[in-house]
Amino acid sequence: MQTLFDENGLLNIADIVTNHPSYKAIMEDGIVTDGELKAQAEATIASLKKLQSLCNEEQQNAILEAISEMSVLFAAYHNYELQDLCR
Amino acid sequence: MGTFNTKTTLAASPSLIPAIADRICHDFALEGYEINRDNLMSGGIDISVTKGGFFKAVLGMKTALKITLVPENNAIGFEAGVGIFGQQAIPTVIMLFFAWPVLLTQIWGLIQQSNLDDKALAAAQAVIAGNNGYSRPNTGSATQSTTYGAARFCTNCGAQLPADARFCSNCGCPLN
Repeated sequence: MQTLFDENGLLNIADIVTNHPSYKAIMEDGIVTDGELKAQAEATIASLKKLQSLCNEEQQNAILEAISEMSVLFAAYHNYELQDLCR
Repeated sequence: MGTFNTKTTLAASPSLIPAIADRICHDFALEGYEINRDNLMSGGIDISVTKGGFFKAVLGMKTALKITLVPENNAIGFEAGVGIFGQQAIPTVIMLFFAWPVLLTQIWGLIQQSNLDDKALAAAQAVIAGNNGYSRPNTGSATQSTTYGAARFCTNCGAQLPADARFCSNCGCPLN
């Protein structure tokens, strides 16, 4: 079973992504097409809906919190980078 | 000190940049790190320092301690942060990766815990202080090269060369 963190405590997400069948299929020819992008967006939504249906309210809140924190970090980091460029 | 890097200005002539880069490469190579060195258009030098098992690969690219030395008026800008090993030109792919800020935070934490940024800065300061017991190889007509692990560098222009090179493919100087 793949774990979210490796033996050094580092987030394992890059390995999970590069070994994921969806990523492998998209990157097989080295080109990302409109169709592949749309299909991946739909697969993401379907996966989130499935996750929601499997979880109770407490679990849903925990997942929402984790996704929110990560999204906030991603958005804030890119604003920080833009800020740095404008200095 | 930046959020994800150590940044400072060293009060020294920019002409010391190649010697400082030599020393940093030398010190890390002695500890088994892989070194990648790139000359910048600005006259500065980028050094990537990595080691298997310590730094993490992200989307197939190895992360590294990236040290940048750039001329700043009559001083030297020193920056040590997390970079991509041997792929300085395409960090954008990583930057757009959703989890990159998390990984950046974790990898930078490891670098700081191990004082790798301080080690690079100390090497730079030692060269500037001139009390390092290390002298930059003569860059006159008898040009030499420096070998760090599997890599070899021309000490005249700093270009990275194959280990068996006899002449620098960048400046044409013979290598000893």
